[in-house]
Amino acid sequence: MSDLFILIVDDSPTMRRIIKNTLERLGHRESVEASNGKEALQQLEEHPINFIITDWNMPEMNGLEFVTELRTTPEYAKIPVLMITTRGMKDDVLQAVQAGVNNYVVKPFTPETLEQKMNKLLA
Amino acid sequence: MESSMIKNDDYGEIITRIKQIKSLFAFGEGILPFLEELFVFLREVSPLLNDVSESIMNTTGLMPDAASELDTAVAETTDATYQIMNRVEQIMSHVDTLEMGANPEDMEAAMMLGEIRNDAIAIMTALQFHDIVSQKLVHVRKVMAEIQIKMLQLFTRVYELHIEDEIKENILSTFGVNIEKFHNMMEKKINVDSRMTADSPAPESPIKVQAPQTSAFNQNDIDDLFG
Repeated sequence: MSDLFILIVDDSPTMRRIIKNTLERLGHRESVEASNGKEALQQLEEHPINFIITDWNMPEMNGLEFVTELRTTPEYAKIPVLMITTRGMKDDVLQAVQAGVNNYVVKPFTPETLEQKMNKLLA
Repeated sequence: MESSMIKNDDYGEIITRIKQIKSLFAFGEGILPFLEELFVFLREVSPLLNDVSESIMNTTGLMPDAASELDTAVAETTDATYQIMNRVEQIMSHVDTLEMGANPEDMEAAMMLGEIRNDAIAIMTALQFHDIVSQKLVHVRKVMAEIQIKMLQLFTRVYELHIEDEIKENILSTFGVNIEKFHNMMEKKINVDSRMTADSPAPESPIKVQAPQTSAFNQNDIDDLFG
């Protein structure tokens, strides 16, 4: 059983369900969801979250703005963030790195990729 | 009589004028065939322009319907995706139950159940296509909204010119704009704009057509970047 409490941030309920399902299959059963950055910040206040998986394109507060906000909040600054997005341009990846994303996966992902990336971040 | 008498200077001026007229005719001789060709060209191309403009007007009018079709497509594929997900989760749950009750020494059964689970997981992850396609459709919808708004802006600018109504209508009708339709369209414009731009789970910013970006990264490049 994993000791991770994972926050899944994606505006697509389908994607959240896929990620949640994959995480459960990987042994990570503790997770909460948010459909944008604002909701995610609320979830952070309410749960002991220690790992974040976030999309980029979302309404209200997108993934990049969310991570930027996260990194400027001392309490959450060190939480590992894995971004899973359809944006695969070089500039996108570089912007994400600058914002403070720890690793980056372009959709569609495989369970193996997710597991590998998470292990790397938690090592 | 002195007043009716023509002086030498006057002759000179007349000759100068005649030369000027002659040179004007010479210019006219050169320009007339061109003007004639231009008028022929305009006469031939005008119906084509009208067709194009008519097509633009029709297309503009169809855009809200097309946007609505895209919304329906997204909604229908979402439903279908959820149904598939529900089934896959049921299969996974059954596999879990079977595994718990299976004979631990029955390796063949264990292997088969493992394969079924892997297939189910593969189906589940393949459903990401829905999110990817939906995002692309949302982008197309935004581009369509942007085109429609630009077209309406163009026609509106012509319509709002401070010139006589008749001239304005002539200009618009030259572009194949049906004035009556246009009036109606103008009335509906605000509704159309808001209908096409609101309520979409859109990317972060207001409608904008993205400029071409730099080269695409594949996952291997990204992995290299993150070490």
